[in-house]
Amino acid sequence: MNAMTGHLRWPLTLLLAALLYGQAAWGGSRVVDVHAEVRDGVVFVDADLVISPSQEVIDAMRNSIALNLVIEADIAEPREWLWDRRLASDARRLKLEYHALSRTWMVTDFAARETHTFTDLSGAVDSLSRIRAWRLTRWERLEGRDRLLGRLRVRLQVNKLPLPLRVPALIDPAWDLDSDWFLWSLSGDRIE
Amino acid sequence: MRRGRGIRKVIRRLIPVVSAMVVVLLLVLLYLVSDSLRAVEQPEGLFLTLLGASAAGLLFLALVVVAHILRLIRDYRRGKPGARLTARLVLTFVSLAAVPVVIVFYFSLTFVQRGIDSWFDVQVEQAMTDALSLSQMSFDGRMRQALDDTRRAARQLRDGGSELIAIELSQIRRDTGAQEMTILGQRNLIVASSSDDPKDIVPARADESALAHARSGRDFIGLDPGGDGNLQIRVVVPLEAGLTSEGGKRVLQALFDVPGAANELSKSVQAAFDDYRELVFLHKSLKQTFSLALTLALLLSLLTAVWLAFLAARRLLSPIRELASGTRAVAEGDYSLRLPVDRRDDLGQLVQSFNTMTARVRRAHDVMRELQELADKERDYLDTVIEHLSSGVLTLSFDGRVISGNSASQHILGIAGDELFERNFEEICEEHPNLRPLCEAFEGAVEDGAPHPGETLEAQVRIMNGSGRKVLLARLAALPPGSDAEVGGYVVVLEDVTALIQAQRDAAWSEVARRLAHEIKNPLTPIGLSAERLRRRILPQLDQTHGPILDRATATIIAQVGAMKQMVNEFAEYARPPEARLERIDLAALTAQVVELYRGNTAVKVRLHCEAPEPLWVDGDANRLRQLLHNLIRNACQALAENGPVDDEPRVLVGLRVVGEAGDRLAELQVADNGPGFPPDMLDRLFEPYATTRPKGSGFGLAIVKKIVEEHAGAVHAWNADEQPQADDSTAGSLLANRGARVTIRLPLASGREDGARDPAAPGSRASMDGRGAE
Repeated sequence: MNAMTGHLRWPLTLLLAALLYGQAAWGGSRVVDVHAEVRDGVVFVDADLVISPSQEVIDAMRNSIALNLVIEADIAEPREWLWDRRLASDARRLKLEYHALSRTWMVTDFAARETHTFTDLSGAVDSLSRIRAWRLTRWERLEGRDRLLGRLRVRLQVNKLPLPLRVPALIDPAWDLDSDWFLWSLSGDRIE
Repeated sequence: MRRGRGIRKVIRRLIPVVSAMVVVLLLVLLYLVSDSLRAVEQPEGLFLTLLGASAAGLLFLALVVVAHILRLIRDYRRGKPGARLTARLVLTFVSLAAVPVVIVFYFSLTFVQRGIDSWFDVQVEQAMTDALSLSQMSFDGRMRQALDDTRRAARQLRDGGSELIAIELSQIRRDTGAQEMTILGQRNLIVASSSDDPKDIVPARADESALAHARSGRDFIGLDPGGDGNLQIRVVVPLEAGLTSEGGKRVLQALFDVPGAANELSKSVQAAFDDYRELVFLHKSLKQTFSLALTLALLLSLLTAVWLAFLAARRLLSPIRELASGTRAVAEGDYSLRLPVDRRDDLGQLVQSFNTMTARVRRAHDVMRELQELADKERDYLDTVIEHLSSGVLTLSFDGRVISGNSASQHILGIAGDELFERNFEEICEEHPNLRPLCEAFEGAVEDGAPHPGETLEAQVRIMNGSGRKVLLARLAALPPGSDAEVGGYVVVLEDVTALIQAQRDAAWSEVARRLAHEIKNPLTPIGLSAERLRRRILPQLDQTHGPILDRATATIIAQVGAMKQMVNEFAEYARPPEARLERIDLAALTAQVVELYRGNTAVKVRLHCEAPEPLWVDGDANRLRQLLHNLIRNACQALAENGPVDDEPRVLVGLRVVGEAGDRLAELQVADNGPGFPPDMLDRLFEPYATTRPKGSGFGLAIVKKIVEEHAGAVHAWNADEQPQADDSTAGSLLANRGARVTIRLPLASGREDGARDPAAPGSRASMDGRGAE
């Protein structure tokens, strides 16, 4: 077993490295953690994302192309024989762009109607990746349900891209900034 | 099955409509795509929806076109009418449409690519970059002053007390002219803040890296575009106050406005620079997008052209296809087809002409069929007439082959149909020597090429067949020549005139006999009486010399008158009108009685051979039949006595049997002898009066026999056994070794009484007629 592990160690490491490199080259997004809690009868959601724009995307941004992301979240009641009943949903639109004159990165939160400027990209991306105190819905809409299922994802708004970029953005993995749905379960008396 | 076909038909009809709609939709979509290339603001997803719909429409159109092409290939391989023409037309249409479209496509693509390339220029790009740098430099002085002011403010704040720091900050901010000043403490908590704008409650926060920069003891200065695009100068400096232990971690952030004009100009430069950079970055993608749109347009044009070419070819060729199928139907004999005329152009006229032609052909065909039926009927009529003619009719080909003939001809010639038809007449004559005279009669004439049409050759020939000698009147005529070599030849008409000639002879003889009897019988009595009177009166008076002379003379006269009386009586008997009294009699018993009378005859042995197993009931006159038998037996005996038998013992055998099929049965009485037979030259005239070979014979014996037979509706036939083609199959024939003369009489059996076993007279008569028993 150990021998086999020893034999497999290098290939596995190389594979992992290739995957990591591929992920870095192609970019991508994922939801790392979501935390929801009820305060004052409102469901607040905190989410941690990992957004890794590829070099191609960074180049596009450096050439004055803004990146519009939307973070979608909803809470549904799962049902056995029917589709899940959607109880609450919301979307949060964010924009990341480069300001050539000031050499800064700007993150605009359309929901909060505020713009933050960052001197470097990582700061801007970190800002995007941290969702805090998002008012998703009122608790009374969810009350009394036995089981609740929440989900959240981040998606690149291809339609907001300049027209010539839309088709490449649809087919090019470098532009694939959409994450999978992150699911978490909620119970009526406890929200995690 | 029918339902499925109906649905398929509906789908087939719907496809062109749907395709037309798709083409229109695609045109609209392409317009919208090109429009969306220009539009800055557009609804979300419009472009992609348009693109997807266009792709789906093109796919549908491509499928329709591929289906058309596959169908054309299938039709082409099957050699369906119109397929080659359709292929040619489609190719022509497509090439007509494709060439200009491809040319336009090529040049459009080239122009687009070159046009986009021409937007970009190295100098312009450099100018844009320079403009941006210039804008940045234009802020440098202001930024430096802002930094100085902030540093000074930091120094002043460092000196101030912590309780009054907010007031002090506000004062310093007003002094420096900053738009906003904020002191940030540990964990970036706001310690104090002062803003020019009273509505601005929450101060604008610097990013982590700027704060970290300041905390490390260095000043941070930079431009901040802000949310509304108005530039601000952001300065973050360390605030080294000694008031608190953690004062070293405090930083001062100050925001300064830039002059409005500079701000506007810089915004303009920024916007132009952004647009230009974006264009530069996207020009490749832009070219691809334009190429894609142009390719879509090209594909749409080509597919529509191909599809329309198929539609046009189908529409153009539908009458030709119908004409082809119509021609095939006419070739197969269906003249009822009428093609629909739904257009007024040249092809419509062609279809109209085709319909007219078909109608005429149909009429002609109907007339022809009626004529054919009429001809068939006439031929059947003629066949029936010919078949039931008593005359034999034969048709011969030019080389003498028998082609057809009626049943009378077979009957007259005594040959079955299978021996007659499709055989050369010469061969038939060779196989049947009795027909030889018929062949000889026309042999020369046919070989000379005669007769010519309209001419008739006639010949009377005598032939032998199973029922005796026959006199035939044969006529040969040439049939009208036909265009075909098979048509034409000769027709031979055979008439059996045997009975006619015989009847004529009989009638003549009857008349002669009646007149002779009448004319001779009357003077004979006075002659005889006178001779006897002369003898009675004169003879005693004569002397010895003359007496014997008169005696001999009168005796001769009386004897000859007696002989003449007998002859006249026989004449009278022959000419006597038939007055037979017919009654039902047993012919076997009667024959046995008559034969029995000759049993004592020592010179000739007369015997009866009865092969009939039952009493032979016939309707007849017993006396006349006895006379018939006597005549025949006496005739045979006399012939044997005069000529002697061909073998040792002179014998006369009387045979009796039943011949013929059930329902048409005849009693056959045959008198046979073993003499030399009838002289061949006499055979035809045996039954005529005076037909005798004997010097003393009156020649009325057989003539009377024939008359009696005819009175009984029978037939008599005399023949020589050794001349007959078929062997005499009777018992008498076999006993006499097929030699000698034969007279055969056939009488009809009494109707309904053939089975005479129940008749009470039968047992007694059977014993006496059994010739073999008597022998």
